[in-house]
Amino acid sequence: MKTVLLIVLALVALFIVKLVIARRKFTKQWKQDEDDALQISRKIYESLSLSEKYAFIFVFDIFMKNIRTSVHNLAIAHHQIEFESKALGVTVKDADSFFGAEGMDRGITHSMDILRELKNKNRNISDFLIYRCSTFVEKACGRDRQTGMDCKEISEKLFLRMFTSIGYTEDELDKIVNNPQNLITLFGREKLTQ
Amino acid sequence: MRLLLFLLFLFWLYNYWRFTGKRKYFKKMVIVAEHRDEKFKTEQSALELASAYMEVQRYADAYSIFASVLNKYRNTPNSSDIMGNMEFCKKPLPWSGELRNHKMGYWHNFMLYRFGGSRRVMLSQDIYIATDNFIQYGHL
Repeated sequence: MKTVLLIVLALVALFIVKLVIARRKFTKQWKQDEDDALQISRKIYESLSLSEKYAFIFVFDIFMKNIRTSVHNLAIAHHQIEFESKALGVTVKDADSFFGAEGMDRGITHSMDILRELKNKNRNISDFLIYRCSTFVEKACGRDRQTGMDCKEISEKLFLRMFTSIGYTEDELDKIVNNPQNLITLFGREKLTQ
Repeated sequence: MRLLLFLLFLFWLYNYWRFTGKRKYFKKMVIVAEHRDEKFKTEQSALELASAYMEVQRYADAYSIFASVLNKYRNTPNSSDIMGNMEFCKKPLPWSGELRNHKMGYWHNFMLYRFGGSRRVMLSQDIYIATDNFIQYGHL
């Protein structure tokens, strides 16, 4: 009886060791990939001013609020926004309080003005923001608590209204969202789109 | 003895309450300074923003702004103060290690008052008035 118990214990211990090694191996690779991607993102974003960085995070956060019911999508979106916040070097809270200080409506208008200027100054980064936001729109789910409207529908409408207001046409938006290969070639960040 | 300890505790509680008020105030001031810097884009507004960051213990952010001011305005008369502040941001306390942002904790503030390095806070009266207005009206 004692030997059987010892064998079982040894097998369990071996199994745990194997799990730990596999996990470490996996996370090491994953962390390395993420660090590489972070370095690339930091390089892209380094030319942005503080208010532009805040506008980026603010817009991401607006779209993230429309992801409500799917835990899986929410976790991905959270990770994404944390990643972007690390790359930009600003927090979601700071961005919210920056635009919130003017009152919500004026804050949104201000952020759109900043993005419009950015579009004229550096269109590639602006295109990249649109592509990133489109991934948040894809993940939108659930219903809005106050209006009962479908969050996906709200998100799509918001996306269209927001980016047409800064000077994009619907065709241009379609092109950016459906053909991200241009952006990937431009920024060399294929790891981020996985 | 018990009464003395209780009074000491009350004194500490009062100080802690004062500190939380100060923390709230300077966090609002950071928002105001960020807006002013975006609007005016002058040396003074940048220095005020960096000083506000320094007050809320965001040393890494303050350092990068001081460095950018030195880079942008090479003949500034404030260069010695800016360099002093940069040194302070790198090592706010004698035992501080790397340059990083803190979360404006009570303990760090307590130590800073007693053992902190010398720095020059460059906040004008205007920014205090703007912060007071922001607090009073709830928006900028």
